Amino acid sequence: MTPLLSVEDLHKHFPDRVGALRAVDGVSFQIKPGETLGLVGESGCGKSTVGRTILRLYKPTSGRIVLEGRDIAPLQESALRPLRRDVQMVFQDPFSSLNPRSRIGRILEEPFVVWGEGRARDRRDQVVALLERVGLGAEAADRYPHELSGGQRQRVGIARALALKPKLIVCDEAVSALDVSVRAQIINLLVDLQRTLGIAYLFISHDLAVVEHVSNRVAVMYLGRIVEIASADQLWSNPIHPYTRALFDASPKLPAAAGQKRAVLEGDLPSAIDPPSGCRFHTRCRFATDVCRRVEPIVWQAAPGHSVACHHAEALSMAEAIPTAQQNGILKGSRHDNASAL
Amino acid sequence: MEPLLQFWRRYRQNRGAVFGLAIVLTASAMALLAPWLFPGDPRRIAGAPYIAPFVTWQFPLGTDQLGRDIFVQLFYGARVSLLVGIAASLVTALIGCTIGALAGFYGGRLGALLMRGTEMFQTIPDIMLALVLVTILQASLLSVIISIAIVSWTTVARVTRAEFLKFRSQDFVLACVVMGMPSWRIIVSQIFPNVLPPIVVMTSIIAAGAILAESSLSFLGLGDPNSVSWGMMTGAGRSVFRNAWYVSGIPGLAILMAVLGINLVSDGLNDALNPRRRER
Repeated sequence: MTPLLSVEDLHKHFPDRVGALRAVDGVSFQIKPGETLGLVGESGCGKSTVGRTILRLYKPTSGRIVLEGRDIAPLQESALRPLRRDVQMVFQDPFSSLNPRSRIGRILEEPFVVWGEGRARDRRDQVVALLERVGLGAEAADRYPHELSGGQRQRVGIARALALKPKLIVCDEAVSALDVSVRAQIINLLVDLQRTLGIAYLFISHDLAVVEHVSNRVAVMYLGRIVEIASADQLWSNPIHPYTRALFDASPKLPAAAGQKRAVLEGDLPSAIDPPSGCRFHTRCRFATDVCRRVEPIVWQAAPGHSVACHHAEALSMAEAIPTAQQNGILKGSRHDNASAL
Repeated sequence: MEPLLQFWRRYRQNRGAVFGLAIVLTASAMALLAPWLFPGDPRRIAGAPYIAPFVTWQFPLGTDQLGRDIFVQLFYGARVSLLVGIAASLVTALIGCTIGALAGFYGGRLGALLMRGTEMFQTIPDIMLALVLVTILQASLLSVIISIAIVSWTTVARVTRAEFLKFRSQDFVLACVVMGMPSWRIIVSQIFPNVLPPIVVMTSIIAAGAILAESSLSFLGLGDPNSVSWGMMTGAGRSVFRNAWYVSGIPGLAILMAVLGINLVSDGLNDALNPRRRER
């Protein structure tokens, strides 16, 4: 299947007094129609910047962003505007993502007004249809954002993203700011919408359990690079990159395996202004050798669709499967009704 | 209607602001009723000079050194003072908001250019620049208004820019960019309603400043020579201040009250428009 979105060697550097902050430094991936690509990594690794660059809220420093066969990276805002409806976004903070001075109905009507769709009378019906689609009643249209709860606001944010019938929605930490129970509801809503509407998601999150649950494939980012990308099943059953393993080890599990030793990461994320030479992870990697400090690793295919950027990938994949590969019993991409499993 | 009523409920909790509103309404009434209550030239000689206030009912606030009625002049002076206050602050808000919004929203080179221009204006002492402008433009009410607007828009521009910078990167603005909304619509329909409260407050403060500035210019003889203003009355009476204080004292008091009133109103607006203080 041809990819909906193909990102090729994307760079986004922010100019700084001393040089450039290399927030995204050579990232490539593809998203097929209707699939969910998870993007995980710790704070500051550049995952949000990837999302915002794809949405062209930032102009990429270099690289290609091919949306349905068309490179949108070099386009000016005026040329970009007609293509904007295909890619929408759901934001992290349900409180700052809605204009505090607009009623919900007005917020949801805005996309139709911008695109000159429908008469004023019909638009009201479209707004109600959107509200119902995300599980809100028509009466919410007359409310102001501060009158709604966080979960309701996030539903409005999703409804707004759906208004233009996009093919891809970038969910930037879309459930991270929500209560656990509300989080499960919103995830179920996103999964349901994907099934009925066939939307693809780029699901950016630091929450591994959520990403595992919703994603078909998962990319792991470290310091502006993707270090490992694989299907969610492959990645969780056989994580290869030392960073991926450390990330999995760092996330809490229930029940905690007795006597299991965790490979906890030492130190902080190095500066993206002056990233380490060679493999960027060598400063914190248990397996780092001389070659890691000098040479940038090339991508190694562990299996079809499973690639790793590590000098020792082959050796690490031979080593015994690490015990993080426990399944938590939830089927991928399925709904679930037990919030505590998250 | 309902939101207006709520607004009034919040506003009236500030007693000073209600007092200020009373002053402003009184001054407005004086300005509007002047030609109807006292037809004819307010500067005509109406009686004997130097009649002290509260001596005769015919001249409740006395007469000046030429025998002109101070009470009548005070009414007509309110017209000029309020007109200058309102017009100058509106022009100020218009210039300041436009420049501030463009600088804050677009940033980059355009923003830097606009802000350097703003700083250039800020380095020149206000009253000096106003004096020079009025002198160049010839003394008239319009040139006084323009001069005051030109010297006072910088603060509005800076505040507007800061507010736009704050909102520019907020998620709801990004969502509008992502849905393809044109920039001018984002500025006008999304960000502007959010930055309005501080601008309203600031504009009312500038109105008070404009009344003072007009008074200063008139005091120095640079106001419109064809109309009565409080500043002009104060200036004309200063030579006889030692034996007839009221000739400049009474219009001076009027300036004080009007400026105080407007400041109290802006204080009240600040309280009533500030969302964090709504839950009282």
